[in-house]
Amino acid sequence: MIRLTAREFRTQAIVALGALVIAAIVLAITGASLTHLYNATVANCKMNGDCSTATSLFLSTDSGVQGTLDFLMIVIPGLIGIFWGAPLLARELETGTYRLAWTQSVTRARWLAVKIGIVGVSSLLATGLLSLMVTWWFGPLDRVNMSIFGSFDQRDIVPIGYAAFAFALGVTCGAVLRRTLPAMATTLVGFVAVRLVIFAGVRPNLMAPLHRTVINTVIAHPTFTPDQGTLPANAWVLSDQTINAAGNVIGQNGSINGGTILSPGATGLTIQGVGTCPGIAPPTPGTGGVGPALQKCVDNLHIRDVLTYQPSGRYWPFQVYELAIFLTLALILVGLCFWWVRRRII
Amino acid sequence: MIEFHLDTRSGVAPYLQVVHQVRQALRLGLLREGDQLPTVKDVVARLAINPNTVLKAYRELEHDGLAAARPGIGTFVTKTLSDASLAAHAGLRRELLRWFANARRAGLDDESIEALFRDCLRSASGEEVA
Amino acid sequence: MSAVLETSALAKRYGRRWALSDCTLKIPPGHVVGLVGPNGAGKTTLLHLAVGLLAPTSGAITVLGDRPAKGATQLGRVGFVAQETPLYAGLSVADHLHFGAWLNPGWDERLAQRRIEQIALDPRQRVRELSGGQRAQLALTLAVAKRPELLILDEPLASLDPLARREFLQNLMESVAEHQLSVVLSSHLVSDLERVCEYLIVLVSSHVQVAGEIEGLLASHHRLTGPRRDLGTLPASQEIIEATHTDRQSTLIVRTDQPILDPSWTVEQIGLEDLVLAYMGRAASIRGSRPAFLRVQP
Repeated sequence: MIRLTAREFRTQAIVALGALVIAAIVLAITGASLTHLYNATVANCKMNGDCSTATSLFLSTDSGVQGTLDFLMIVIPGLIGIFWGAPLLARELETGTYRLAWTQSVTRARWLAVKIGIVGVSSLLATGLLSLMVTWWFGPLDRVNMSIFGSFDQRDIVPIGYAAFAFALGVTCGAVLRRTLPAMATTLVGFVAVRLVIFAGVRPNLMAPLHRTVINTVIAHPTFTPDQGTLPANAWVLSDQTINAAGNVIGQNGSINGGTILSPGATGLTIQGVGTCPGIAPPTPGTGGVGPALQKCVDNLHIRDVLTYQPSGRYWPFQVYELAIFLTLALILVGLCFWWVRRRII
Repeated sequence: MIEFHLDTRSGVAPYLQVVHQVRQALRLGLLREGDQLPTVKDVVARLAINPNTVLKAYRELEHDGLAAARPGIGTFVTKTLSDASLAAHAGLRRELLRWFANARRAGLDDESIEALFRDCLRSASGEEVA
Repeated sequence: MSAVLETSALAKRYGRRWALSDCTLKIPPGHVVGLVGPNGAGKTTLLHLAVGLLAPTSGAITVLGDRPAKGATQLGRVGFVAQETPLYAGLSVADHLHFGAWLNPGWDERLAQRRIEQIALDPRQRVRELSGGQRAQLALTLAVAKRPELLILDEPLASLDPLARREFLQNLMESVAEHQLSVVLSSHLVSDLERVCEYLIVLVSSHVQVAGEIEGLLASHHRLTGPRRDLGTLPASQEIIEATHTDRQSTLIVRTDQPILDPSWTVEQIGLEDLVLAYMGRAASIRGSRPAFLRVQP
């Protein structure tokens, strides 16, 4: 049975292996020069005194490869589900060869176990290897980029979970729908839906987020980036709410709802909806002259930013949790699939 | 070795057809004592019939004392039906052919010839029995 | 030795439609059994139940004394050639032989090789390039080389031309002779089965109409012709399978184990095809709830 599955899976395995080898070669070459460039520019930019230029230049290196890799890491688990998972049973059921396979001297359960085992483990291995290479390649860039949660889905171990889930979903859809194309389509829709739900609904709350209240600097310096810079590096900011002295939310990301409107008056500068700063004129764009005065006023008015975030130290626990979630879903689907094939396709 | 054939439209049971063909071959001297009959497998592979049909026919032949099975080897003819009369066949055949020619000259078609032949055969057998 | 196939009140339902109902059979071993019936009668359902591809809705079925597809051993005892002989289109003939060898502990490689040579198949050829006859022969080879005790074939001849049919049956019968297989094969044509079968099951509209050894069936069925008469006057031992009447004459097909003594009847033997057609006609008229098999011609 093992040899049979290996024979059936041979072509796909060769294609996947070939793709991995090509990726490895490309990444080895470009990755080495990337590391070299990092050491030459970013690593000692402090000595040269211009880190921001060095950083932004470095981050745009090999942008084509970067884009391709990020894209691949997102789509490959889905492709595994669609092209390896969905046809695994659907094609047998569609073409009728299950009537040949299930009447040999091998029980249906064993047949299914070997098929799912070999192709499933190959899926996980392929995705894991690719993720390993991609994570290594992006190493220097990620160190500079300071946004590890931004590339959470494309690095380290979670892609393995996605691949496992997509594969199990594909196999199950194939078993239930019994036709390849509908099974592929359902797998795609189901995979994207579950990924979105976990991404938007579950991942931010895997652990209770932390809060930090900081002084609002955005009102006084509209051209500045928001106040998240005060957070530890690599934190994942879930929300940034502007609150007034009473603690009510009056805006997002340092701004005030409906846009921050500063209107000069007789008594001074009024920050609409918040209060008045006596004795200062509005800031003239470009000069920033009133900046410090306005900032003082903002402080006096007790306008604060509340940051809700996950600290960078939770990156690995989150990777493990999310991997566990997707592996559990995959196992449930595999169990369902066994039950279905043994009891329902009768 | 002889070869069997089968006429599924005749209404005669397939095993009887096999028996008849063996008897026929014995009478015509095509099979003699000691000859081997085709193996069941060969007959089946040629005629696409059920092996049990052939086995049944061979059992019938054994029962009639015409053949005997040698386990592991095959079924062999144990009796010759043609015996001394075989020598007379040629002459009789010639006479019969001449008679057919006469009948046809007299205007009889095949069907009438066959009817007449059968009728004569039946009355001749009747006289013998009587 | 236990029956090759034994069912009691076996039934299978798909949704609200009964594909097979109240099927009770007992087929003794060592026979070539023909399962005849029109398309959609439930033949495939019965055979799929026998190989364990389907589970019964109610009733019981045992094959060679055990539950179908109970385990690897039981699966190995039954060979199956499914309808339209499904094979892996992209794999070669040799791949299929490997497939058989890998999946069946009892695989007879010499037998498989010999048969492939005999039917002149190129081992490197892909299945999608084979003719219908070659596919059927390959499927038969796979089923026979696992050395089953019972071989089940679902409409193996349906898609074959007459020459391929003959060759297929020759091959099948040769295997039966060689390995003492019991065989169940289905067909919607009696003529396919006449030469090879010695046991017959007629299945029409999900019910078994008649089952038994062909010789016995032929001996117990007769065609009676005589002056027109009321069917109520027939002896109780004579079961009427088919009756047609003209204003003067009645023609019946009856089943009876006793001699027909009534001198007003002309008694004739009937052939297998007529026998099967009579049962099919009877089943169809019952299903159509037309007043019976009494087709009165004015």
